[in-house]
Amino acid sequence: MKTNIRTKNLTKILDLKLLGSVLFLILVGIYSIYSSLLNSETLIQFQKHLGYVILGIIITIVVTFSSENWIRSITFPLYIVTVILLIAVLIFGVKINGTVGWLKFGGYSLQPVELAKLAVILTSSAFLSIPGVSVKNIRGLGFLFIIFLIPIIFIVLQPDFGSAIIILTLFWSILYWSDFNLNFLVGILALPFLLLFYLKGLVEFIVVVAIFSGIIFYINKNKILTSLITIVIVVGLAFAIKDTINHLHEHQQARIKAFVNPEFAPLKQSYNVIQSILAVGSGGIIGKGPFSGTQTQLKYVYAQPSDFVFSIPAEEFGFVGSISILIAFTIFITRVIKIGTETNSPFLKHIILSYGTLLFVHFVQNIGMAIGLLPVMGIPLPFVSSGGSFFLVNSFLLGVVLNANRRKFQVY
Amino acid sequence: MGTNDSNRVIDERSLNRLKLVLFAFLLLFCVVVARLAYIQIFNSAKYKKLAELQHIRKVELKAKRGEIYDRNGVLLASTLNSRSFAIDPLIVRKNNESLERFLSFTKILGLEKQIFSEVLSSNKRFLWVKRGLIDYPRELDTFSFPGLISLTQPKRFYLYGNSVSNLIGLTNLDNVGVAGIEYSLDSILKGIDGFSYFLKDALGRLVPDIELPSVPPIDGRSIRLTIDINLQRLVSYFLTKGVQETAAKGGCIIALNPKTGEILALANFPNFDPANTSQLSNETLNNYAVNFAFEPGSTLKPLIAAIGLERNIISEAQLFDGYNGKFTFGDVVIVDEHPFSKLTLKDALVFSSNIAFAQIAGLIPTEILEQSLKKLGFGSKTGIHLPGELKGYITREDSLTLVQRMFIGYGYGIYTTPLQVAMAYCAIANSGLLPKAKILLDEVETSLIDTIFKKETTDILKNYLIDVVNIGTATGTKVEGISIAGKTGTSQKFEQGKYSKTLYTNTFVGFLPAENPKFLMLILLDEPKSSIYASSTVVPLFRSIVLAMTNSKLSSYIYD
Repeated sequence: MKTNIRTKNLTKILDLKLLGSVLFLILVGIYSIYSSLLNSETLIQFQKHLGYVILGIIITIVVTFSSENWIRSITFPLYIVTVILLIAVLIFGVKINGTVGWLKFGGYSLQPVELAKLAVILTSSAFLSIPGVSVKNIRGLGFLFIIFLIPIIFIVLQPDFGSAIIILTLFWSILYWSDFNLNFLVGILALPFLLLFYLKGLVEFIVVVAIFSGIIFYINKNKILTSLITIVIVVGLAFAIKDTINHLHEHQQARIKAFVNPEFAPLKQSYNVIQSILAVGSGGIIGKGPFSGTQTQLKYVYAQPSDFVFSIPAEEFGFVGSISILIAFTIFITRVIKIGTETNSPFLKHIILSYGTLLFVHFVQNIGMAIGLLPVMGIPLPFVSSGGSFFLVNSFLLGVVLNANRRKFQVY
Repeated sequence: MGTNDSNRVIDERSLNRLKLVLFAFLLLFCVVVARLAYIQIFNSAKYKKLAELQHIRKVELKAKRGEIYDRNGVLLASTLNSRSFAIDPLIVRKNNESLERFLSFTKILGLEKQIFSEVLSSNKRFLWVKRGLIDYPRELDTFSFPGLISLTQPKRFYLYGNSVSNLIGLTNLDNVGVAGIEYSLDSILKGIDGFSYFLKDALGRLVPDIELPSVPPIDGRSIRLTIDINLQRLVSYFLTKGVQETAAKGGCIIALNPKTGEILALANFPNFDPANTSQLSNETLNNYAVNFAFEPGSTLKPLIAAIGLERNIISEAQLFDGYNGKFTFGDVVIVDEHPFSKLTLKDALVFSSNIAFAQIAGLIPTEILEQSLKKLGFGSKTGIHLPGELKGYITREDSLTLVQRMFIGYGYGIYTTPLQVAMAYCAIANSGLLPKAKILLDEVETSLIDTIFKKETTDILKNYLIDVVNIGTATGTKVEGISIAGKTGTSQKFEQGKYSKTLYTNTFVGFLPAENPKFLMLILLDEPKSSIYASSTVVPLFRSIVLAMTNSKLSSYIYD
């Protein structure tokens, strides 16, 4: 019995919650970029963004209605092209803010690193969906790691540590959803946090160790020995790394300290964070009104349309605006993960869950940076920040999510 | 259908991992919301203030300093926009190119090498290179290099240089009055600075905003002085000449209208060039007319005579004992240049008898002498708008002793400023009416004129003083066709506890035309060396000035 319920359940297929939140974020982006450029000599950046939005919507629609095999077929060529572009950018790239990350074509620029995020997600998902491949044997894990390692090497050479870290978290994420050892994963994830807070102060460190221990005990249920061993190893590692840092040269230590406490670093980066916090903080509860954010309109926030885009609605619409954006992202990301876990196709499932991680990391890091919670990294806010490469990557991955959602309601 | 259902079911392990993710998400969501609430709700006021601090800039709108004119509306002091250059030494010495540019910059300005070494060593971020340039090579307008700061600033300039510098004074580089009229009337001249708020963008560009408050500046008031710049220049010229010819330490000339008290000229030597303030000193800034207290000597005698006549203590016909030129009183010996055995009041004045005037002053009761001198303005400020005016004193004790009164009779023991003496003479010249000294033309007087003497008294004295010029100590000032009344004064300076035998002040006060004076002039020379006698220093100087005036348009200050 073959029943096509596509027409009957159109709203369910399109997932209005998901699309509604994405649409809201796109509009926030369009508004914010326009507002930040209002007092500029040219609106070209805004016009380009509109172009990317239209192109992105087309890509989303195309991917939504394409076949899984088509997506699979472009995966390997995309990976190869990406690696070539990553090499090309090291040779021909344009240096912006100390990083050679952009390839210029006429008036347009391409950021291969954004493309790399898509490439590793598709390639690793395709690899893991091959029957018999598992991360639980050394060969499978090793091969998977190589898929991630190649782009990471070239990205570090740019050097763009922020994006390298993002891609590493994608590796972590794919292991997580592939049922890899949870103690290992949580330990690895906890290590940088332990280190960060160890450098900040003793009280903070104890609090983080306590939270970490709680999580370890929770995931190990009643296996107290396993839990204790995991905790001791991870905390011990943190001490060891701290000890190594203590033996570094003074200027290297200073760099790490600046990374930990941006407010006390007399660097351009800390200036940006302070300006961003001033913008967000001075917005108050309801904001200064549309196109009336003084920090924004007087251009105090550096790289505002891209990395610090969150500060625009936060200043002009205040706490209300900020929370609206947080809620939109929460709906968006939880829907993506839910659809991911419900997807049958291992290929699409891995893509969507990785995408969920990508969204989550970008969302937390970008907003965390804008409000002074996390160190500065050039990580754009999905669907909001200007920058065509990342917007189109997101459009593609959103298409994959909608594609999988469409399949759920198809009965063969 | 069955397979479809099982496909939808998420296995338990996945479900656990999903739960863990959602838990982590919830945790981070709470952290972010808490942080947002912290900065956007609880600390919003603080961040608002910090944001405003950096992008609201108060800009001072400078009030224009009032101008100074003479009585005929001739501009004496005005304000121009000048160019000032400063540098940031840290930036300049950062690279060789800007250091080289700076070197050629200093060459164009003709600066000394010294500034260059200062730039190399200074740790300051702001160093003046040259301030207040009005006339400078135009190429500097477009000259630029990293670290150069170019500013437009108001600069005061003075059109008549040395001739009137001690009277007008000057402003400092910040355009604040620091001497003379500029200092004493600074509050009127400076006006009130306004301000405006601008929004400042991240590049430091100012953006006006109509919602921000703005207060326009109130320009300073222009003032008109009572002086005539042409007379001032003439008088200044002769004073300089007189000081140089007599090798005096300095001196001043005060010319005024005895009817109104308006000062027509007030010249000083030494003076200074307001365009070249590098050699300023207290001496060159000094205004003898009000900053110099001296014992007036014989110039006080007519006033003592007037007090005696006014109170009927002495009379015209009275004969005084001349003691043949040497009068001993206790351990005091008084000597006259022209010895008399007996002499009248007229003789006493015309030949300037110290012996007669010591006796006359001794006859005047202490209270009357003190009060009369006070009424004439001695011992208190004239209240003229000039800085640092001295009061002088009649006596430093409670009251005058007989010896002190006798000293005062011929002008010793009392300390006066030249302006006080000149003003007191107005009472004689003006038939007993004493005006207030006046330097601001448009000033509204409160107590205009005081009556000191009866006309009969002053008429007698005028006649005596005409004789001083015609046959007495001041014959050197006689001018054909015009009657001049006046009195000389040659007083020893009191130095290191005793009266000096070599240091004198010479004064001559004269007014004309004697019958109905319109013009009164005091000339003072401090420590002349060529001669110590007023009759051969200040007296001929008076004549030269009067002659020069009668031969020019300035004669209108003498004749109707």
